[in-house]
Amino acid sequence: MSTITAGISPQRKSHKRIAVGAFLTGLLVFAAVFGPVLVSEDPLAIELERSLEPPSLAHPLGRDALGRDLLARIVHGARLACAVAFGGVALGASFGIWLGIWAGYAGGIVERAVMRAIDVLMAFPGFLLALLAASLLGPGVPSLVFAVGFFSFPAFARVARSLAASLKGELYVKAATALGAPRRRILLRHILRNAAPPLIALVSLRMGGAIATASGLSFLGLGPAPPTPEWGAMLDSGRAYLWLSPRLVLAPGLALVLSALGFYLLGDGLGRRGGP
Amino acid sequence: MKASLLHALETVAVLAGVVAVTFLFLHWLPGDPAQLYAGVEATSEEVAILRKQMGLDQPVWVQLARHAMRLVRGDFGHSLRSGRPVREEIGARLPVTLRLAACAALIAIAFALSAAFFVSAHPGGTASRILDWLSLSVLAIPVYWLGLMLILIFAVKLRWSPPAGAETLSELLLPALALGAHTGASTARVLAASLSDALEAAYVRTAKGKGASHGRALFRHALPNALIPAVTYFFMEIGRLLGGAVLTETVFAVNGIGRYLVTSIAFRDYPAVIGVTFFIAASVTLTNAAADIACRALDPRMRESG
Repeated sequence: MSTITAGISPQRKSHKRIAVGAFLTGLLVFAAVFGPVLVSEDPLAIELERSLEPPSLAHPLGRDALGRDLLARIVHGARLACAVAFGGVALGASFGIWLGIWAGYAGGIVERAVMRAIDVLMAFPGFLLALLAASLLGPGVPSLVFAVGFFSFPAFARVARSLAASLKGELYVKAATALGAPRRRILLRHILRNAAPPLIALVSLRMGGAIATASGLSFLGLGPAPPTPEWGAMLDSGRAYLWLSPRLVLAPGLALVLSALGFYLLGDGLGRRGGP
Repeated sequence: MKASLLHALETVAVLAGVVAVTFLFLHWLPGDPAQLYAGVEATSEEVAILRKQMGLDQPVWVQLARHAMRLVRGDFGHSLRSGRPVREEIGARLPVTLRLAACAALIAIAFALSAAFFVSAHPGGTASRILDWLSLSVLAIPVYWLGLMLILIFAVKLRWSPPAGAETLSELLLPALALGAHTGASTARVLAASLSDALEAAYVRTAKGKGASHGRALFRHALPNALIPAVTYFFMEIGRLLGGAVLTETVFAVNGIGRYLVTSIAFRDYPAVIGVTFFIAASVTLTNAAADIACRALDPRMRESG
């Protein structure tokens, strides 16, 4: 969103940040897809007698308070973080973009009404919106996906609306309208396709925000129930051991930061180029 | 004049929408509010009487109107946990949150101004690249993890400051730093961009051509114009500060309205949840309206365009 895309001259080279962003994002997706296969340890296997065991060759990140392998939990957490972020942003983006281009193309009173409704949702700080959505459904993964979707759709609707409103004046849209093309076809083929590049950059930026938001909700106890390896929940349980073994807080936190940074760099770079 | 009247009307409309959203939230909650109020041991007759008392047997629009009237009067109902009015519970915790948010805002402004000045002194150089990557990295750090890292470094390892609380100034520093970091980084990006645009503008080149020093060109000519988008952006960030307070207060065990919201959600204390949520959303709406008026007063161009 504007928070990140706003700033510094846009003509600055974007190759480097796209490369670093793609590398970090690729690392996250690789960990999510192949990690659980490569790390054979069970992320749920409790061995109380080996509680807080420091890192060793067999267990590179050591064990947590319940003696579970930390690396296995991080890697399984990557799978969950990816699933929640992709699912939630897909939900929010598809609904928000559709609402935005529909309202922007329709114009007039429909456009105004939709935008005022979006203003109402924007009056709630984003995290508060996600918190309310998650508390409606109660703890769990579906609630995180719904919360992320609910928290991201106003931004998509707002950007898509302004893109649609400006594309509406383009000659090819006017021509298609004059030729009597159905509204659905105009919206999909002419408006959505040309609005796609900035929207894809926005998807990447929101993915970074989604990962932090979903983990924040888990940190507050609104995520999946305890044994599930989720980065935010791991931070919450690890902070009791901040004195004894800070790696319980360092490892999931670094995973969160690097994943979010990857999506931010990618989105920022794509946004500067005006899309992929 | 007409434009400001229209803006006032829009603010009222957004506030009405906020009331409606909080009502829908209550309405969609699983379970019966009367049952929640009465507790698990209540008989079905007691619940039925309470339903009537709470007006839950009325049509939805009557319930919505009553809900709106109560919120506008500042009557958020009684907390299910303590039995005290939610308004008192919020009032008791608000000063802590406001103090934390104000300190965070000060830190953010100080960082944004100094970073933007530093970058503008070396346009297009390494400084702007450093600010660019640094601010993106800060934005990628979740507030709660930043808070935990600050505790780890400054309270656990260096023992410079207490690990929790926000009563004294030394306790306040770490949570305010965690809360203000995102706002500082993003405002610095906005300000650096608008400042570099302004420094390249014709009026600044003219001033320099007439012999104005860099400092004079910066403070007298470029900054007043460059500040407008940054100030507008900063006011939009107030919402983020209040939203971020929820996590910051939890990490630092600060007894403010953010942590009150989290514990209220955990205890299903819905009058408290609605009260805090409405309070925050209404504050954000009114702050934005005030910022809009301030910008119009500062910038004559905005007054004309409406």
